[in-house]
Amino acid sequence: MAELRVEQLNVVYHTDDGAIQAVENVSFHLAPGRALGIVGESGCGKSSLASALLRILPPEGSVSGRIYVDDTDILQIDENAFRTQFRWSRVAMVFQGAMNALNPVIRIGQQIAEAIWAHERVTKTAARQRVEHVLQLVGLAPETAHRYPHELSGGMRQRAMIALALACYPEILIADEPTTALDTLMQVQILLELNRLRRQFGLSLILISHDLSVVAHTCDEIAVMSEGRFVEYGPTDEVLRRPAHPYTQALVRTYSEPHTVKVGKGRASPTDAAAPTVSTTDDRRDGEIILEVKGLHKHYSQRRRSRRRWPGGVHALVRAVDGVDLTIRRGEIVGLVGESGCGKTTLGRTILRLEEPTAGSIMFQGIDLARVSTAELRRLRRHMQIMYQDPFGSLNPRLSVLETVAEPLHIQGWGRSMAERKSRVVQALADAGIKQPESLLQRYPGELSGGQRQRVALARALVLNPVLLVADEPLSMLDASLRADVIRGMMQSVRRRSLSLLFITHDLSSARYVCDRIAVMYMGKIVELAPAASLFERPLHPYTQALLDAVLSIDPGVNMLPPRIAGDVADHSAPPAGCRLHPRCPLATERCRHSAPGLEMFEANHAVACHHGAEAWTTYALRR
Amino acid sequence: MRTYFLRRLFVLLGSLFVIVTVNFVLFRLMPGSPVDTVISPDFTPEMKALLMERYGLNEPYYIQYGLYLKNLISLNFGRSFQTRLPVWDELLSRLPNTLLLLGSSFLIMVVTGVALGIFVASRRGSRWDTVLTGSAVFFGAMPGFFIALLLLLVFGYYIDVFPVHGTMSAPPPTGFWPRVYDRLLHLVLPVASIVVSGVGSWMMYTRNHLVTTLAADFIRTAQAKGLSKRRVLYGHALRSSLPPLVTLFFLSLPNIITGAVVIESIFSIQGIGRYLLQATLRQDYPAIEGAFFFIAVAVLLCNLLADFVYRLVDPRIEVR
Amino acid sequence: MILRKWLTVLLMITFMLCMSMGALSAADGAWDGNGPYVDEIIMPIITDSEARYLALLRGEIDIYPDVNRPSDIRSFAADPRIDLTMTPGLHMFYMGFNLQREPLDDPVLRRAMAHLVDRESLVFSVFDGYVFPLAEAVPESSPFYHRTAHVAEYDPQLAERLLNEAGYVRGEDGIRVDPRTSKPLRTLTLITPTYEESPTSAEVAVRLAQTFQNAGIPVAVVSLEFNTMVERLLRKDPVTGERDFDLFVSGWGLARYPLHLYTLFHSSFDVNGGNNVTGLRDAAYDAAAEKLWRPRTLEQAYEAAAEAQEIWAALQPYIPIYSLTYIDAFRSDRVTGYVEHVGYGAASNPLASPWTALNIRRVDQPEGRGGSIRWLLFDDPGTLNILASYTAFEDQVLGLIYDSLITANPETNEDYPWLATSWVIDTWTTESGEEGSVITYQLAEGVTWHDGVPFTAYDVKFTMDYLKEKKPPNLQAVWQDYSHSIVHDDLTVSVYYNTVSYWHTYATGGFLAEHIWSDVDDYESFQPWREPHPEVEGLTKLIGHGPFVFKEWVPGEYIRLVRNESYWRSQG
Repeated sequence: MAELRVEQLNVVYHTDDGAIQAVENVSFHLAPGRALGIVGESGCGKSSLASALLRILPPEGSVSGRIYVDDTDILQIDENAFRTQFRWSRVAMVFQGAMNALNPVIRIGQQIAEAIWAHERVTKTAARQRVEHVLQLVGLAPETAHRYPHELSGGMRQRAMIALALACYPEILIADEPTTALDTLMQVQILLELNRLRRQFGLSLILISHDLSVVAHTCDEIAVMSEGRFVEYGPTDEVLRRPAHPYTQALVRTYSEPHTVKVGKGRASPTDAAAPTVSTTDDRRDGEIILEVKGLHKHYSQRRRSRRRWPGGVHALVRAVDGVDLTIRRGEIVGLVGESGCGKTTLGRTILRLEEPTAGSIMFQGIDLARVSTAELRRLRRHMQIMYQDPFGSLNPRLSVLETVAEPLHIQGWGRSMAERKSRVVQALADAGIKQPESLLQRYPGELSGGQRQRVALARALVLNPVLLVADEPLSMLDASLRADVIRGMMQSVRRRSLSLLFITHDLSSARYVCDRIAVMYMGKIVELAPAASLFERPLHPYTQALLDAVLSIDPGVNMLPPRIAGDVADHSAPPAGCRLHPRCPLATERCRHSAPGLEMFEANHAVACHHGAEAWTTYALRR
Repeated sequence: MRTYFLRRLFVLLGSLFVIVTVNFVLFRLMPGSPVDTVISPDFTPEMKALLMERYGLNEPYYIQYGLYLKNLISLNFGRSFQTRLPVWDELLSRLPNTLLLLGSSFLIMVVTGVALGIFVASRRGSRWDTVLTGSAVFFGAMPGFFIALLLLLVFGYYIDVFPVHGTMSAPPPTGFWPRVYDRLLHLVLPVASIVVSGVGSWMMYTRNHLVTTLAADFIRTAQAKGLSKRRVLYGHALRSSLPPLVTLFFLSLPNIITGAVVIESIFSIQGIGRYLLQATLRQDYPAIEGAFFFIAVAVLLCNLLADFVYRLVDPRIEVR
Repeated sequence: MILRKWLTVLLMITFMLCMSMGALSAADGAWDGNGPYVDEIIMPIITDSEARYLALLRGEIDIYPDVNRPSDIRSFAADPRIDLTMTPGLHMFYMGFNLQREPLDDPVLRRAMAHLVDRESLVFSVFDGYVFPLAEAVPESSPFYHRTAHVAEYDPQLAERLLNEAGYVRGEDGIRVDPRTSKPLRTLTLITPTYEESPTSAEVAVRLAQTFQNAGIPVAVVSLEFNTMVERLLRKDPVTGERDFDLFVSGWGLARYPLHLYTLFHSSFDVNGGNNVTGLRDAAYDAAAEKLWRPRTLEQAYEAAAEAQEIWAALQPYIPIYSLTYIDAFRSDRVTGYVEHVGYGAASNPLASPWTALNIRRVDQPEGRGGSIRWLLFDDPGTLNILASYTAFEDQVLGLIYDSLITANPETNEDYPWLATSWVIDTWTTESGEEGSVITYQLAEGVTWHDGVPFTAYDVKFTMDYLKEKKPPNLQAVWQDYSHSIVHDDLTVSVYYNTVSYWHTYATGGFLAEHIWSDVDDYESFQPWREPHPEVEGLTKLIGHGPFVFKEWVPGEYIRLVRNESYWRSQG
C-alpha cells in the first residue's frame, strides 16, 4: 500500500524547434488503494505525465517538481536506485496497444520473468511459478507463458500486459489507455479485471483514457487534462454531475447528446423519443427493394503469414461472409454492427462487388451484380458508392476539393466541362452538410479538419446521385465532437435523395440514432436483424444483448456488469460447428453445438438466429 | 514442415534449372569461338574444325544442351579447356581457399559490423556516431578493388608488414605452427579488404535497425520494467533486430562470392572466384559452366538456409 | 646482322632512357652457357599487377619478366636496386588494308598512306618510346630481316605528291577525289579493339585516322570487342567474297623465321576464316612465299625471305607501325648475369632462350655459384604437360626444364647448336614419289634426363613418332609433315619428312623421355607433375634434360625448381 503525491510537476521537451511544455504544474494526491482517472484528448500531456511517474521520458524530456512515493521524492534518487527499487517493483504500468508494447520475438513468460529478475533474485522455478500466478490473476492459462504475443488475441495480449505489470506485485499501477484498441465486449472485461485486481491487492490505480465513460466506472477521482494542465480535478460524481470548467462541460455534453447517448441496459431515455429513429415510416419499410442479397458467401484463401511468397503456399480458408441474406429498400438506412473481424467490412465490399463473391446473388435494382460483366458493372457503379473509414487515407492529398468531388463525374463521363460539373459538386457538398461549399472548392485535404474531410468524402460519394451508399465506419476516426455534424450531414442527404444506406459500424449507439434497421453480425453470419428500436428494446440474441450491455455510460450510478459473452472470437479459418457463438454463449445447449440456427422471424420484422431466442430474452429482461 | 521442405527443394531445383539454362545460352551467345581464344590463331581452319569436333562444339545446340544437362546431373562438368583437369576436381581443390577467405572475412565483418552498429546506435548523435557513420559512408562508396589496392600498397610496401600475394610463403616454413602463422599472415590483407569494404554497411544496417527498434513501444516497456540499459539493448532491441540481420547475412553471401573474384585476383589467391575469372577470360566453357553452377548452388543454398534460420529467430513466421 | 639501321635508334633510345632514368643498362654480355650457377629457382605466382610491382620492390622476386605497365617501367627505372633490360621483340603491329575493296585496291593510295604515318612520333607519344618503330614486314630482331628498296618511310610531302599525281586531288571540302569515280573518297572504316581491351591499339587507330583525315582521306574508327573484331575480319562473305572492313589495326607475334609472310599473305589463305584477311593475291609474291615456306637450305630461305619482303613492300598490304619490346626487370643488387636475347628478351621466353637461366647468378654467393633466385610467374601454368601447353606461363617453366635440339645465338638469333651438335640436310623420295627432307642430327654426349637415364637418338625418334600418332594441336607444325625416323646409333638419328623444307630442322624435337611417355596413352589429361616418378624418389614424371629439375608446384602459390646437378653443359 503506497501513496503517491505529485506536486508542481512540469515536463518540458527540448526540441530543435524550441521547448514544448507537455505537463504544466500538475499536482495530485493518490491515497493508497484509490483510483484516479485522467481524461483528455490525445496530445494533452497525459502520457507524458505517466512516463514522468516512471521516469521513462525520452532523453529530450526533462522533469521538474516533486513526486513522492510514500515519503521518497523519486525525482531525487539516482537512476540505478530508482530502477531497482521503484520502477516496476513499486510503480508499474499497463501500456496501450499491447501488440506493440510487448516484444514480438520473446515469449510472454520470458518477458514477465525478466521483470522479476530485474528486481529480485529468485530461482528459475520460483520465477516460473510467479509468472504462472500473475497470468492466472488476469485470467490467462499458465500455458500462455510459452506463447508469443502474435499468437494471442487482442484481449489476451492486453491481459498479458497487465500480468506483466503485476509481475513484481507493485503498489501503484498506471494504466495508459488500456482498452483503446479493444472491442466493447473486451473493453468491459478488461476494466472489470482492473477493478478486481485493485481491490484484491489494494493497488493504487491511475487510469488514463480519452474516454470519460471508461474512467467513470473505474475511478474514485477524475482529473480532466487539457494542454498540459489539470483543468478539473475532483471526485468522480462531482465532476460528472457538476462539471465546473467549460472544457469538462463540453466533454460531458458529448456523452449526453442524442446521437451518442449511451443506452445503458436498454432503458430508453426520454430524449430518444425525439430522435428520428422513431420516424421510421411505413413507406420506407414497404418501399421498393433496392438491394436483395441472398446466400452471399465470401471466402478467402488466406496464406499463412510468410516472409516470402512461394508457389503453393499454405492456405487457410477464411469464411469472412458465410451465407448472408439482406434486403435494403429505397430510402432505408440499414446498420451493420459487430466486433472487429466479424466480416461486416467484407460484406459491404462484396455487395458492391469490390470483392468477388464466392457464392450467392446480389440483386441490385433487378440486376444480379454477382454475375454482370465488368463493363456493365462499370456502368452500374454510378448508382452505388462507398465511403471509407479513414478520411485521411481515402482522399488524394494532391487533388483539391473540387477535383476530388468531381472525379467520379469525370470517370463516369458526366458533363462536358468543369464548370458544368462544378454546380453539381457544390450541391453535393451542401447536401453533405458543408455550409459554404464555394469557399472550400480550391482547398486541399491537408487544409481541412477531420470532420470536413469526411463530409468531402461523403460529397464525393453523393455527387453521382447514387441509389445505394455503403458507409464503412465513417465516424470511427473522428473526435466525439465532430461525429454529430457528420451524422447530421449523412442523414439529411439520405432523406433528401431517398438514398439507401448501408451503415457499417461497431458503435451500437450511433447505429441506433442513424438506422431504420440494424443487422448484428457474428463470424460472417447475421445473427439478429430488426428495426432499430425493436432491437434496443427487445434484443433477442445473446450476442446482441452482450453488445448492448457493454455500452458504457458516464452515469456512475450504473454499474458495469461482466458481459455474458466472454472470451474471444474463435479462429475464423476453423469456425465452431453448430451455432458459431456456442463456445462463448451462456445459454448454449447440446443442440447449439450441433445445429446452426437459421435467421428466423421471431416476431414482425424481428429476425434472430438463435435456438433459444425466447429464453434469451426472458433471462435478459429478468437480469435487468 | 516436411512438405514445406519438399516444396522449397522443388523450387530450388526449378531455379537451378533456369540458371543452368541461362548459363548455357549466355555463353553460346558470346561472340567468338572458344577455339579462337584457346588456340593459337596460326591454326589452319581444318585444325580448328578438328578441335571443335573434339570438344563437341560443332554439334547442334540442342544436342550440346542435352549433353550439358546430363553432365550437370552427374556433376561431370567435363575437363577444362585450359588445364585438362576435371572441372569439378579443380573447383573442389580451390574451395578451401575460398571458404577460408570468405568465411573468416565474413565472420569478422559481421561481428565487427554488428558490434559497431550497436556501439553507435546506443550513442546516437555523439561524436562517435558522426565519425563512424561518416567513415562507413566513405568506405561504402569506395569500390572494393580500390580498398584492396590501397591496403596492398600501404601495408605491403610503405609499412612492409604483410605479404601481398598467395596464401603461403614460397616455399612455406616448415613445422605446423609456423605454417599456420604464415597462412594467417597471408590472410590479413585480403580479409581486411573485404572487411573494410563491407563492415560499414553492416554497421549502418545494424545501427539504423536498432535506432528504429529502440523507438518501438516494447523498448519503452522493457525500460519501464526496470531492465538495465544493457539488457534493453541486447535482450530486446538486438534480439528483435535479429531476423532482418539474419536475412541480410545470408542474402549478402552471394555478394561476397562476387567480391571474391576481385579479391582473389588482386591477392593472387587460388580460389573459386579467380577460377571463374580466368575461365571467363579464356572462354573456357566447361570451367565457366562448372564455376557458375557451383556458385548458383551456393547462392540457392544460402537462400534456403536464410529461410530456415529466419524461421528459427522470428517466431512470427509459421510453418505448416 | 641485326640492328643495322635501328642500331642507332636503339642506342639513341637506350641512351636517352639511361639519361632520364639512370638505371636502364645493358646486361653484362658474357653468355658462355656453362651454367646453371644457381641452386634453386622459385617462381612465385602473382596474378595482380600491383602485387607484382610490389613484389619486386619488396624483394620477394628477383626477376620480373615482361614488365608491361608504363608506370611500373618508370618506377623501376628510377630505382637504383633495379636493372631494366629492353630487348626488341619478334612482333609486328600494323594497320591492314582490305585490298579487295575500292579504293584501297590501288597500291598508290596505300603507299601514299604509308608515307603519311609518322611512326617515331607515335612510338613516343603512345608508348613513351618503349617499343621500336617498324617499317617493314620483318623486324630487325629476326635474322631474316631484309632492308628493302621500297620501304615507305615517313614522308608527307612525297605522299602528297603521289596522291595528287594519281588524281587524288583535294576537293573543295578538303576531301580527296577518287580518280576512278571522280567523286569524293568515301569514308573508310578502321576497325580496332575497344579502348578497354587494348588502349594502345585504340589510341594508335585514332591517331592514324586523324593523320589520314588531315591528308584528305576520310577515316572513321569503329571499335569492336576483340572476338567480334576477329570474327568480322576473318569472315568472307560466301556469296560476294567480300570482307566487311576497309582498314584494321592489329598485332601479330612472329617467329625467328618469317613464316608469317606465307601464312598471312599467301593467296591460298584468302578464304572464309583464313588468315589472309587483306586478301593479297599476287602471283609473284605467292611464288616467293612458297619458296620461303619450303626452302631446301638455309641460304635458300634467306633468299626467298628477301625476295618476299621486297615484293611485299611494293604491294604494301599493311603499314607496319611498331614492334614490341621485351622489358625485363632484375634486382641488380641480388642477381647478375642475365642475357638479353634479341627477339626474346632477357627473362621473358626461357623456352626459346636458355641463356639467362644458364647464366644468371647471385651477387652474394662466393664465386657466383649457388643460392636461390625468384623468378616471377604471372599466372598458373595450365598443366605443365608439354603436349598440352597453351600459355606463355607454361613455357616459362617448361623452358627451364627442357632443352631443345637447336637454339639461337642471343645476339644474332642465328642457329646455335645445342642438344644437336651438328645436322645435315638431305632429300629422299617418299613412298608417293614426292621429294622430302631428311635431317640427320648428331646429338651431344653425356646428356641425361633428370632421372639419370641417358638421352639418346631413340628419344628423338620416340618423340616424333608419338607426336605423329597423337597429333597434339599446339605442336601441329612439328608433326604434320613428319614421316619417320631412323636411329643410326645412340647419338645419331635421321628424321624423314614428307616435304622439302629447311624449317623442318627446327621442327624436330626430342623432349619426350621414352621411358616415361611410352606408357602415356591419353596425353591430354596426363598431368606429369602430379605423378611420382616410378623409380627415383623426389622426382615426378615431369622430367626433361634442361638445366633445372622440377620439384614442386603449389597451384596458385609457387613452382620450385632445383639445379640439374648432372646438366650436360656444366660438365663440359
